[in-house]
Amino acid sequence: MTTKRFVSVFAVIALAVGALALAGCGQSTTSTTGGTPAAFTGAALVGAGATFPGPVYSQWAQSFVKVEPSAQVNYQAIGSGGGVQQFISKTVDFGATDVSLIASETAKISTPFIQFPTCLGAVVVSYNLPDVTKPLNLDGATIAKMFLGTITKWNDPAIAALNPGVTLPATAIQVVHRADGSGTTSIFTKWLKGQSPDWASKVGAGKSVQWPTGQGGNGNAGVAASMKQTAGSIGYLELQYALSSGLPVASVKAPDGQFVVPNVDSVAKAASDLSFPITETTSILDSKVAGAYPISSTTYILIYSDQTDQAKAQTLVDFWTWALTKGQAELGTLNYAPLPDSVAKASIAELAKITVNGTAVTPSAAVK
Amino acid sequence: MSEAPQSPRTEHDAETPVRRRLRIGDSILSGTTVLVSVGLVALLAGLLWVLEQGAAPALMKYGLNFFTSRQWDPVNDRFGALPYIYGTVVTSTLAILFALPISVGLALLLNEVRSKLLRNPLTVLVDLLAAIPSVVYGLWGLFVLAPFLNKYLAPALAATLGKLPVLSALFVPTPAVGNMLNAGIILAIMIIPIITAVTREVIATVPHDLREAAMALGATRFEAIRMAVLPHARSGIVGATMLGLGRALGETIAVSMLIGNGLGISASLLAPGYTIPAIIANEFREATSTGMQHSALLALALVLVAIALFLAAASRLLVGRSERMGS
Repeated sequence: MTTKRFVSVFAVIALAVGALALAGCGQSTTSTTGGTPAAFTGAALVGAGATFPGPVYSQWAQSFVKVEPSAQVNYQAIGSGGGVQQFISKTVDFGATDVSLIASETAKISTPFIQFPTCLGAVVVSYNLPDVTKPLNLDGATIAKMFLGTITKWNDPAIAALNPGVTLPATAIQVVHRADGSGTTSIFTKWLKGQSPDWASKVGAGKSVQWPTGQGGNGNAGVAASMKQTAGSIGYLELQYALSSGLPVASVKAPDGQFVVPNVDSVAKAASDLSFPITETTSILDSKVAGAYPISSTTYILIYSDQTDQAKAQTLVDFWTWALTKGQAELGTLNYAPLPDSVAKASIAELAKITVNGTAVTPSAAVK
Repeated sequence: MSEAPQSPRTEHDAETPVRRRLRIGDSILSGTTVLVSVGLVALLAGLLWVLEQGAAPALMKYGLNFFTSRQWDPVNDRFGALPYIYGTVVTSTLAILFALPISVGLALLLNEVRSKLLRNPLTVLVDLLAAIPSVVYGLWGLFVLAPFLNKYLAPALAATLGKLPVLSALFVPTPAVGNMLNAGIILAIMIIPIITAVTREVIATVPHDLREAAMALGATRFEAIRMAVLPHARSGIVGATMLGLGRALGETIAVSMLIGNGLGISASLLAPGYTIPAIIANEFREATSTGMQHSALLALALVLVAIALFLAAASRLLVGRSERMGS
């Protein structure tokens, strides 16, 4: 008993000493300037903001430690609003937001900054109709009417017209929406607002809205759980959640009249005509590109371009350059869509604007 | 200090070092307790002040309308608290209605049963129920209790009580997973351990003479409980109920998972509802700072604190009255 405890205590001490020694090595390599140039090992970064890319940023942070061992990227998914607020008050090294900065927000920022997308996602319309096996086709006007409660039965002529050959049940439509304020709701209602004048006047768009009908679930998991238990339910989920939840997803009518299945490819297409610089009106909703999923969205990172701390600036450039190149390959497993190459390249070009006391920062060799 | 009764001792031994040290200890103790109690009052005042500051813009803008409006529209910046006050009151009332008889019964059982074989495991079980985190109750409620209730209890209620003339409005079924009845039931399960534990302690303090006197007068066991035990324990049971009600009012996550988070007011207990803690937890994180949403949520918090303080005061009055009646 006592020897066991002694051994475990010893092991802990040994580990701690080892870790300290490693950390010490890390620091000494960065400070050596003479001889062969030692590899840069990174500095700690703090970021905060959107919850939607939260899983991606934490995954990237974990993987990036293998590239630069001392780069501890601490991302707090506190919501886009909080991220912008903390970015403006300069309490974080980078901010993250699902909605590009609006004029009243940029007015509060006196120093130059860059804004670029990092990954793509989408909101999918999901439903629970056990007897319908073929994926349903839906368009914006019909989805709006279902969520407004003006179409109440699944065999409504408006739905039947979009789905020739599908036998629709006379089940009542049960709307399930998010109860918590969320970027997903914001994207979905923003899209509905553009699709239906009725939606625009009666409900509008926002992170939380006054739903005319239905029940609310907490988060994607809460919505999915309620949908699975309610026959005839319709709801909206984040792409990555819907694909792993096993619920059927509807194909949505794009501006060119085609019905598009939401998946990683159709979402990537939506971003292919994204243009820089990112402004208040930048949006990939209802993209005109053929085969693009209409309810697609992207998420942005905010960084001040005139940095003062050399190590932090180098880590910022390295981390995001890595995320926009090698990091994109990790998105698929998380069911987010990678940026199209052209957009990723344009984002990296934005990163080149970062300077430390006037000197440009070039990405380290390790991330190229 | 000077009012302290003089102990029979002479002048000089009062000034021995030991005495002096004791006196220093006394003053440290009284100083700390005064500091802590003043600090507590200051904390409560500070909390109310911060809430009031945050809530003021919304309360000024909407006035009394805030308490009577059914709108909760962050997009158009219109906010009313009525559906949430309604949902909070209904679910808490349901919880007390279900939990009180069960808890008092349980407490009596735990006191009356002499067999340790039954009593000890039961006591431990009830105490364990109190230790389960509310989010676990919420998960269990969402995946186990709600499907069960929706499949069996709701149709049964709709088919029986729902057919009666007046009660029918209360039992109009909806296919929603979450509803006010489910939330009330999960709350009842959560507050049963609290009410039971306190009631059990109170009943244990009822003098044995009282019970034996009743028995000696020819009362049955049930009559002895009804006439001697329960009246004596009444104030304690009221206090226990208020403790339970306090938890029911403030419970957030489990209720939010089971109530359906539906906007508006529905008379039916089988329809989704919403409570004050649930909407605060759901919307605060992403509340917009440009409009009134932030302020309206703080105003709701203020309303919740007001309801809780009112209930605490009312329970003190009730306890005081029943004690006077009892003596």
